[in-house]
Amino acid sequence: MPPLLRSRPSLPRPTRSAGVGLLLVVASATCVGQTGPLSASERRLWQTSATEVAALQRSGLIDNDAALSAYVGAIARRVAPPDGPAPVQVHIVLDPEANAFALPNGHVYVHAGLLAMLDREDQLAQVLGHEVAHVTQRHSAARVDRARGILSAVQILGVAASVGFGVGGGAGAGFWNGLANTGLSLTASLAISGHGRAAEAEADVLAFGHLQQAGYDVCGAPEVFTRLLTRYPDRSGVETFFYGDHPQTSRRLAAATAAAERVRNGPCTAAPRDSLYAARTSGVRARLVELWVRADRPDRALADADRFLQADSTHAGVWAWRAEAGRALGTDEARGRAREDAHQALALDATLAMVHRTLGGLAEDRGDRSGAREAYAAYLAAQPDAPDRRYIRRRLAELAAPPPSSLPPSPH
Amino acid sequence: MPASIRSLALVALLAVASGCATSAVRTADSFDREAVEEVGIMPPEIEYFVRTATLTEPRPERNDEVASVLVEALRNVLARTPIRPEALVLTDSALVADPALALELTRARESVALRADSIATLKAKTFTLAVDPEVGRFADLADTDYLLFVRGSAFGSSGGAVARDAAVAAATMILFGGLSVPSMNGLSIELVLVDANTAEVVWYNRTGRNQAGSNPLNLRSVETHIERLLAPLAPGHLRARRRAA
Repeated sequence: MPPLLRSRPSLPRPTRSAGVGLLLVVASATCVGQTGPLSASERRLWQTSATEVAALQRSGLIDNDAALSAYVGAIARRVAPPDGPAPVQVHIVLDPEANAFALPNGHVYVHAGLLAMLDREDQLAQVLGHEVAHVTQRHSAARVDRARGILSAVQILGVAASVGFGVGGGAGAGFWNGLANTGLSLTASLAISGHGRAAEAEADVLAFGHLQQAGYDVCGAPEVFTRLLTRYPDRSGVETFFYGDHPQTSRRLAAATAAAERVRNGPCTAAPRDSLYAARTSGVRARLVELWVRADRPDRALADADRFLQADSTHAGVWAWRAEAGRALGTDEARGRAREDAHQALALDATLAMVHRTLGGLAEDRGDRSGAREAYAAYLAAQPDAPDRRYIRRRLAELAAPPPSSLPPSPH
Repeated sequence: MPASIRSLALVALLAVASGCATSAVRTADSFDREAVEEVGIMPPEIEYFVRTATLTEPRPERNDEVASVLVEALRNVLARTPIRPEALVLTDSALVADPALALELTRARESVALRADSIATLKAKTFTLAVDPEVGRFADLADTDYLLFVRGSAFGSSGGAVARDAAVAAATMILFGGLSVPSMNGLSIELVLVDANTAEVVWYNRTGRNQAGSNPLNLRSVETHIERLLAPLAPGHLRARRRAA
């Protein structure tokens, strides 16, 4: 069991002054963290966290790319203070939305969609520093203790409406469906609702300090908010009612920009491409396009695939899933382009079995039964243990028979 | 908590407390009931809630217990029909040891949940919908052609809630002469039958709005609940009783 006592991390003077600047902007960010032994409610939170960590692990939603996890984990430890209540452990969640969250026991979860949205390590360091700050400041427990006796811990965390990093409740992609009925209420609450305005603002400030302390470019902080704002514009009107107590992304961007300019004595300039980050997170990009396809969002899959291919046109996996997305979109134009994408993927990597499956589906869509059979046979030959082999065998049998099939097309 | 589950829980909670029945059975356009000779029962996705004297809160530590009762009830009820049940057991350790299988299970559930959500809002009695063909992996494991997915919410009451209900019931009886207070135990589930060879959803049913008052931890009560839901799948073999025990 990690130490139950913690003290606030001590920041160096320049970091402190930068932090003060941010604190002036977000004046409500005070008195959130707590010190002292675990309260009964916090102990319950830790127990729930342990249960949910295990459940997430067996959900299959945690990416098992050890190299990527090690890379992201090393960044998290670099920006984490040494005296946190628990060692930080980072996991990559197979979800296309740009989100991250931390459980009270030090387990930090970063969505694949967030990794793919960022393009520099210092941006990721700001995100991880923010999530680590929630752990070190024991924000979950603070919130529960403040409202103890009124609602259950999980409900307290779920009632408040503020977003840490990411989109929160409007997601609607695979992760939320994947967690359905698994009883991960704490995870869902933290991932969707965050910790409240003051805690989120404090986490921004502390993350900025640790970013600087760890030697990262502080411009990574405003760049994160710029990307978030582009992807998820600040809510307004009726939606603001639900998310009414979190600092809007535009405000967080302004605060981070001011703090970065103060540290640099000037504005941030366009940073060069971080080729190491791009290489380390390369696998996530194809996974992301796949996740959008599987979430029945071929439009998002195509948009992200185009973005990735602009940066790296040699990524066979992205071409392959772009092809599947085009097929799923279902228009003649998209299907035509999908065939080209599929052949491009095979030209780059002839071992990509799923491309044959896509080509089979495209052939079926245009009534080319022999072409479909050939492609499906190639798929099964390349991947005999494919999870959908039962369906493909059935398709092959149907396509061998003279009358047209009455089976509905598969979703992807 | 995901919005879909919150909605399902809310509907279930309302269902427990209210009346008004509607038939929720839906079938695929091409569904051949006679073709269903065996069914693989997928591990249920169930979230268990406990109503205390002041609030309703999730109790994830009891989800598995409720799921076990459900599987047992499904096996027992299907055993009274010509359909052979085969429960698919995927232990936690097996899923941790095989992340690919765990991910396929999650994807299969996601895919079925998406289709179930569509079917639940259908006005037509028939449909044509397919799920992720990768569900075939589980049909191979169960060695069946059809897979039965189960998802939903279960509700229990704490001692405090029961005591309060008893007090309210007594007061109601005194004041209004015999009006009963409904039990807050409940089970609200959806059953989705998938043909693993075609990846087509072939049959769907869900707990009706006045049918949720079963004790999710009591096997006989759950069996009665399941029997009512499965009756349209095996007409002549199961009775669609009006009320759970």
